[in-house]
Amino acid sequence: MRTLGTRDSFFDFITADRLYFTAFLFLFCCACMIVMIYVHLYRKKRRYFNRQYIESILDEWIGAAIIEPSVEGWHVHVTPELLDEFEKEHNRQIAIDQLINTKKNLLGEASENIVRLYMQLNLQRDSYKKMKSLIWHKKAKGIYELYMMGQEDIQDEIFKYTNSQNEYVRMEAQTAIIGFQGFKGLTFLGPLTESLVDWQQIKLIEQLKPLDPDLNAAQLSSWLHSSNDYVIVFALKLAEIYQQFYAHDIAAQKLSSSNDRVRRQAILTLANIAGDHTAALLVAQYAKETPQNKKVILQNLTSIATDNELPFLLQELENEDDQVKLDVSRVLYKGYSSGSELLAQKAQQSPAPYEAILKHVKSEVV
Amino acid sequence: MEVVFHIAADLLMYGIFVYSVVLLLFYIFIGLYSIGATEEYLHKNNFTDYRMLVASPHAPSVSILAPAYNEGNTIIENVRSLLSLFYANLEVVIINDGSKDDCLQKLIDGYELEKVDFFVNYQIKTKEVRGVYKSKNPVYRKLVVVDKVNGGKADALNVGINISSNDYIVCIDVDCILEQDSILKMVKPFLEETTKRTIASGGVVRIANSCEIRDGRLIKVHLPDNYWARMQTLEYIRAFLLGRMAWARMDGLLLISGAFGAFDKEIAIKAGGYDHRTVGEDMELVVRMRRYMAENKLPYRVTYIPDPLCWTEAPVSTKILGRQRNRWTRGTIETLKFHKRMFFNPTYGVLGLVSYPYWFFFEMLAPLIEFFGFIAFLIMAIIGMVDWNIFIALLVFIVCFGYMYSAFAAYIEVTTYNQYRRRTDMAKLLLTGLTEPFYFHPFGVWAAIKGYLDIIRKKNSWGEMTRQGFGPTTAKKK
Amino acid sequence: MPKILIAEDDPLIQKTVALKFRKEGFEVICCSDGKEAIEQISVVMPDIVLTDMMMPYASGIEIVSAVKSITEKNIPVIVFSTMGQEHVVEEAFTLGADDYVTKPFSLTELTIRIKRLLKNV
Repeated sequence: MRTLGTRDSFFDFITADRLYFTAFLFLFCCACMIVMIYVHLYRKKRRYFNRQYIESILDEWIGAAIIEPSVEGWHVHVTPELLDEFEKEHNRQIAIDQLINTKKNLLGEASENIVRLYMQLNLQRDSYKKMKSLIWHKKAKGIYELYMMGQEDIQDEIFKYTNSQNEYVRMEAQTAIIGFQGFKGLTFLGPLTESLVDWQQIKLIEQLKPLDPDLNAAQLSSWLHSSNDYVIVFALKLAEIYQQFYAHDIAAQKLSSSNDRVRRQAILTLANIAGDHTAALLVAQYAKETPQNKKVILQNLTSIATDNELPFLLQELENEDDQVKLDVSRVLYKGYSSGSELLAQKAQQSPAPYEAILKHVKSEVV
Repeated sequence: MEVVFHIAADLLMYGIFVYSVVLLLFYIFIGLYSIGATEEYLHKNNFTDYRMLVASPHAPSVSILAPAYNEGNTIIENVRSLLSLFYANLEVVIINDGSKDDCLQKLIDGYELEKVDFFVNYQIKTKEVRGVYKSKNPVYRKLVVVDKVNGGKADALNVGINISSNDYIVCIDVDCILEQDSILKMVKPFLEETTKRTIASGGVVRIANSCEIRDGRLIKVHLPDNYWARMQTLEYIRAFLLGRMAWARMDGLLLISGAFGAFDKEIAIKAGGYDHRTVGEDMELVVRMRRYMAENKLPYRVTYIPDPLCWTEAPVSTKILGRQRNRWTRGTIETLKFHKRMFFNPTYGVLGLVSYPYWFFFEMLAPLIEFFGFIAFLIMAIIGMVDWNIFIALLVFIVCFGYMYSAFAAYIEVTTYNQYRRRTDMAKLLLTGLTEPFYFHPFGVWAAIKGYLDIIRKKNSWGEMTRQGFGPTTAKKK
Repeated sequence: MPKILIAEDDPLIQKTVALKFRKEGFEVICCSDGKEAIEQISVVMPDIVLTDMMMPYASGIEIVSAVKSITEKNIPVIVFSTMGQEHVVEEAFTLGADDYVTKPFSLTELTIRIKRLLKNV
């Protein structure tokens, strides 16, 4: 048996037989994969038909839930055979998903009956069990289901998860608490030590949007002094959106934060709850800032700039960075009645690039 | 003399054998490592409510950059598809790279465009911009068309970067079909950053050949009828679902497809924009952006979305496919050459110690080693230095490994996204895979060798990529 | 029997609304994408149209346009929108939309609004 190599060496064990054997193993694995593929496809098909069947039953019940008036004690008639079907965990999950998807879109009476159906089938037990699971995605799903089905009595338990280490569990818990308690639910910000990413912040803000604002000044101030930068950024956002003017001075303090993001949001907030001296404050901050934050300052000066800021702006108009020239020109054109004149003068003095910039800024306003 | 010859032959054989084994081990590792990652992503996606981001004023602004060259046939359809994406704060920038056909005129007519006064800030140096156009019709307010002097894809993208007014850019091939919520999904990683800044996010490119497409939207997925397209489908599944997922998980992703990638504009500009000196500009930019962050000691990450979000037409003729593979090889060589500093350099972490060496040895050199290795072994077998039995056994060994790997990739595809629903589809795909070691793969190696030859001869072009179009091209008149 | 055309890509909402309105005595025509909706509108000539704002193939804006461009019949249009799409709704109104409902919505409220619009026609 010849080996790979013309002399005795470490690679002696590589014989043709061994190679063929390994190749055979590979083919065997390959065959296993193929079998698994088809088994999987078959099972998927089975599950699909089962799903259709279960959903058709649910459709009937959901239809009744929507159309029939909402009364205490409302329920559907479930035959013993169907009851058996809904003993299977898989089918129960289908039911939960279907009920949630329907309820997601409905308000008022129709959704009340959906919740009654959920509880009639004892599905809250499944959701609760999921919440108690150690696997993060099950936990998060459980919280999500309990929230979507309005299980308010579990609130306190859910609250504990608002500072969970796993970000998805955390997000669902926070969403749930805001869902149940509205603005009052924001108390979770106090003990929050984990991160609160932009995605979640936007989610929470959109959740709060349709509600009547109910921000507690003392609470907001405490959040603005939090040791967690994420909480500070979020609180600043709230101050910006809900025009909490009393937060102005605290926001100004945040301009000296070491965190870029905090400073950036502080700038945005200040611009939106501006007082008489805010523009001056931002201009003073400008020199110390990163290029990105400088841009944000310029973009937000338009509505709050006063004549005091004019010298600064005219100076920055000469900045070697054309982008800065453009941003400053915008502020001048839109924020000052004499703006277009000043820019026209500049354009006459040095047509490149001010003439093109002026035209651009003009066309934006049209 | 004979002894030297024997030693050389030995080294060659053992060298190639070791190379093959390491490569196989890498593949196995990638295969297994990718499993957890896709699963995890699918779990995470279960909760995410993307719709709420769509119209939120707090959602980040995104510019889609799509260079267009001689796309007159399909441009109206393509743009319509882009304008119908689910995302409110969106700007669609089409860069007409000095097309010789009526591409620009079709756009002007089809979307009621007029030239606007636009100050072009040449933050990245590019060829001249001839004009910027926006629509008079408010329904098309998201559209911006830029007409410029021809300069190639990289140059066109840089113009797009200069023109765009938003924080994040999504660079695509203009004829790609994007899923409705693709922008949402690509933007999410940028909004989830904590300590590490997300600088780029890559997506999966799927093969659209033979799929049902109407009005720029994918209706139904079908396995391609054409052999080459079908073969590429299997290849893309391996590469995107296994390969990139694993690399992303290791934070060593070196390549984001030029057909679909999202970037943080600020970093892209700071890194210098796309480089027009290479035909592999997509890979090169990602590497350069990563280098920028690593060299400036800024914590960062490059993420990857495994969902099928982007569908593209794959080449169906050997001529065009050959050109494509040739270009990919040249692009890889050029990129690795530009950044040879990173080779085994710990400053660049996983990138320098694992990714770059891997790409160097197992992507760039692979065609050479395969080609010359095969010939060398063949010669040695002919002259009797190596047993024919061993030679054939080795080939069988490698071919069977390939089959196993492809079957594994198919299994992962079926258990995750399962785009090819019909049972016959899977069978066809697997059967096509049987021919790979004998037909498709050698073809690829040959195209790559030609790429090497071209680099040596200093070729520097994209070659002509002609588009088939997706179906009956009915340019819709408004 | 008044005819209502629903353009909505979410199958559950479609089912729910269709169910409710059939019970209320309407003839319901469902469309799952914008293109189908625009085609059906001119064929069916419904008495009222209910459309989502974000639809595949054609946005709600295009559907509103299409409905209002039918001169033979004045068909009222109600748009569905997700919370926070006020500017989109604004646009719909400039094109002639008659009312809007944000999701999640109350079926009772929707029924009242539709009946009111039909009475005014």
